[in-house]
Formats: sequence, C-alpha cells, structure tokens
Amino acid sequence: MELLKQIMPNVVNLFPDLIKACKDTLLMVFISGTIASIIGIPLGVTLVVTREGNLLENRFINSFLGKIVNTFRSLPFVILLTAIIPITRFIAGTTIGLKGAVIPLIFASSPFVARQVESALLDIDPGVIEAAEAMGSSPFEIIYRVLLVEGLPGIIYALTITIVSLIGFSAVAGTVGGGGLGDFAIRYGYQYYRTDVMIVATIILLLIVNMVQGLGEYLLKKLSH
Amino acid sequence: MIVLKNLTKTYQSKKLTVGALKQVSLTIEKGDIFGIIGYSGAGKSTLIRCINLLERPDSGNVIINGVDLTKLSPVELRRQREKIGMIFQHFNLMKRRNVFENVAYPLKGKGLTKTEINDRVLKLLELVGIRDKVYSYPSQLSGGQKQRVAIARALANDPEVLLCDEATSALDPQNTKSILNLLKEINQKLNLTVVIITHQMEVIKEVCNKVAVMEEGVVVEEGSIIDIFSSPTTKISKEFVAHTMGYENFEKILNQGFIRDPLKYELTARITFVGQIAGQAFISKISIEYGIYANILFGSIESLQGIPFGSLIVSFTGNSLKIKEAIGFLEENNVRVEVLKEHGATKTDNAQCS
Repeated sequence: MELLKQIMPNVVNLFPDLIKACKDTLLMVFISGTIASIIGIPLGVTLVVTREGNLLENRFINSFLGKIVNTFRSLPFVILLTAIIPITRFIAGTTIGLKGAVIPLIFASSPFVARQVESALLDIDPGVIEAAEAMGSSPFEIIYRVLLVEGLPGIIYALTITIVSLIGFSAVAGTVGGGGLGDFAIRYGYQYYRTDVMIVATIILLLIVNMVQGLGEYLLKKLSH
Repeated sequence: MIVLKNLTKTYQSKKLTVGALKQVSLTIEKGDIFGIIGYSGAGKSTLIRCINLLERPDSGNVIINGVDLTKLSPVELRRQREKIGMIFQHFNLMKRRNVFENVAYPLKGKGLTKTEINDRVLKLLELVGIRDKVYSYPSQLSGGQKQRVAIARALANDPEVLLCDEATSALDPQNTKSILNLLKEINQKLNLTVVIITHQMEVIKEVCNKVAVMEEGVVVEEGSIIDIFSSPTTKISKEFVAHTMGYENFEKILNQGFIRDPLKYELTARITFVGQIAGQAFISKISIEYGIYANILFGSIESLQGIPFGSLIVSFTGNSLKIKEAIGFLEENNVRVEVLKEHGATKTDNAQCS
C-alpha cells in the first residue's frame, strides 16, 4: 500500500472515483451496446434482405435505410455528440452524465452494428438460402432459422467490434461530462498533470478492450464449424 | 407428372439481353429419371430452377400433378415446394447445423413431435447410408457424404419430385457413381420422379431413362435414352454420344487419311447395335456372304437401362455394289448404319470426268 502510494499517489487518493468511473464506463457500454444491438441487428438484417435479388427485395427501403446509416456513420463522434444535443435532451431529459452520454452512443453505434451485421450476413452462402427457399421456408423463417443461425458467429464478432469501439466512444463521451474512465482520465489526470491517473485509466481501458476482444474470439471459434 | 409449357426467361443486363429459355416445353412422366443435358450456358440450370419457381419464368406454365405453380400465392407455392425436393452442386448444407439438424430442418414446424422427427431423420439417414454420421458437422464430411445428407434433407417431406441441379459435378468419379446409384435406388423404392441437370453424358447414361438435350435456351432433341444414343439427330447430341462412346476423336483421325489403296473402293460406317442383336456375329456374316473385307477400326459396348448398346466403326473394302447390299442386309436386321466416309476408284473416276 505504501509502495502504491509512492508510485501513484493520485490514484490511491482518487480510488473511489476510479471505481465509480469504471462502473460508469461498463454501464455506459452495456446499456448503449444492448440497445444498439436491439436496433442494429434488425436494421442489418433488413439491409441484407431488401437488397437487390434478395429475399424481400425492396429498393426504396434499402436505399433509404442505407442513407440513414451512412449519414450517422460518416459523422465523427464528437460532432454527432454535440449535433444531437436537442434529441438527447428530449429523450434523456439531460445532456450530461451517464444518461446524457448513452443516447449519442446509441446513435453512433446502431448504424455501426447494422453495417457489421450486414457484412456478416452477406458472407452466408446464397446457396443455403436458396436451399431453404426450395424446401418451402417463408422469408421470415429463413431470416430466423437460416440467416441468424448461420450468421451467428459473424454477428457475435460484429458485436465484439462494436463493444470495443463503444469503449473508445465512451471515453470521448466522457469529455462532455458523460462520466466514465475517459472523463476520469481527462478531468483528474490530464487537466491536473497527474500522469499516474492517466496511465492507470488507460491500462484499465486496455484490459477491458482485450477481455472483450478475447471473449468475442473465443465465442467465434466455439460457434463456428 | 411435370408439364412445362412454353417457358421463356430472359436476363437483361445494361447492354445485353440473354434469352436463357426460349419457349421450352417438356413433359416428365411420374417415375421417370429425366436427364437434361447441355453445355454451360445452355439454360438448363434456369430450366430446373423454374420447376420449383426459384426462378420465375417471364411467361409459360409449370404444372405439377395438375397444379399450375405459376398461378399460386406465395403461401400455396411454399406448400407445393415441400413436395419438390432439390439437391445442388455445392450441397448447400447449413454449416452450423449437424447432419441431424440439417435433415430435421424441413420437418420442424409441421406439428411433428420430437420423437417423430427423430425417427424420421434416422430413417432417412439409414436410406442414404450415413446413419453413422448423425452428429457430424458438414465440414467433417466428404463431398459424397454431404450430398447424401442433402438427399436425405430433400426427401424429408416425402416429395414426389426430386430436382438435381448438377448434383454430381463437384464429386469425383467414384462418388458420382455411388450418388447416381442412390438416386436410382430411391427412384425405385419411393417411386420418385427425378429430374437431373448435367453437362456429363456419363451421368445421363448411368441413370436416366429419358433425356432432353438443350442448346442456347432451346430443347433441341428429346427422347428415350436408347433413341438418343442410337440415332442422335442434332450436332450437339452427336457430340455428347460420341464423347460418351469414346469415338469423339475418330472423325478427326478419319479425315486425316490413313494408309489405304487409292484404287480400291472403301466405305467407312458407324454401326450401332441395340439389345439382343448386339450378340450376333453380323460382321463375320456379311464378310463371308458378300465377299467383302471388314476392317474394324473402333468398337465399344455400353449398357443403357440394362440394354446392351454396341457401337462399331468399320471400314469395308471390296466391290462397291456388294458393300451396299451388305449394308442393306444390316439395316433389314435393325442394325443402324451411318456412313461416315466413302472413297475409292469409281467415285474418283466420276469426279475426274465431270
């Protein structure tokens, strides 16, 4: 303990805040990741099945959704964060803290999930879908019994990438008072020249990212045949 | 019974319009193993995919057992599709489902209990001969085994028709043979109508009782397998038969000219025997009775639908009138003779006069 105090005095002093920051980051990522999946996966599926020559081909819906997704994906997160402040305030009632950060995170990551899921599902052999059609499966049946089953490893991987980038985004969200490790590193570390705080916060983020990535890869391996 | 009426299908790209099917009509009887052969791009794949409307023809009707599939609603069409099994060149099994789950796929949601599905799947796997692979994943199976799983899956709903889209094209010769034997076996056991698309005449020869030859979106020739083999009329059918019987290079060699006596009359002909007459000694007989020489250049015998089918290429020399008489005798005895080349003294003399 004495040794820790010597190496990183500020971290020890701010320990309760650090723990809270960790919790906030995890909570932010968990909530926004969950909601982004709920929005993004169906969106990705829709983008795939409405493509030309696919199950439920619909050029209008496809290009409409595609454009929305592209718009949100092309905005840098910092800009998005400030641009949607009115929306954030309308939905969450506030633009700061955990609540205020979650809304822009969802806006940023849902289109990301959608595109990742789309690309995962496009990897499925069209022949398998054709075989299901030939067996008399309905488009809806094909979506949940073929696309989502065959595409599961790809979807899991897509979510892994999303979570990793959400951790990065959440640090940015911290700069506008969203809380979490990014906020902690900047407010208590960077702005006070407390290098030890920044280093520890960074290491924790690094560990979380690696754990998520490792878990994702493990699941991918386990689910693929 | 499958009746295809005036099917037309055109593919349009920006610059090109390709007529994949041009007014194709076919009738396939119940219990047939019907082969459709053609080179790639002939439209045969489009045709078979029109039978279960995976591909919708621009015009024409697909009538299976009296039901016109082109007039059905999507829901009714899906119900009909359950009665039409299909297997593919690349098997199209689901990678994340094991053999059992792949075969069970079409059985789910039909109100069957778990035990019923279980029994049915195991019975199907028994039928196709891979009962021991129940819990394997497709990636652990060989091509032939994968196709067996695909066949079991296609048969799950007791179909009346089985469509095979180049089902053996990705297999080695041995697996091709065993899959074809399996198709023949289930055709007989289940009284299933089988439609086979292929570019390999060997496949047709092995299992089909009827064949249609396709070229550029048109069925150019159609008939029983014996008819097509013994008297192909179109150039493409002749090519396929020549390839299968092994004499495809023969005409090239014939035209190169081999050593022969330019003063003597010589006639080269292909002689085809079908059935029991293949066992008779026709060549010796005409050689002795007509006093002509017969030089056998090529010979092969195949079994089509269990009927012996022999093909000889013979070069006759001697008196031209006697040779013509001998050919007449062969034709009277239902031996088919096709003159490939004729040359010799009389003909050359005539040519010089004129």
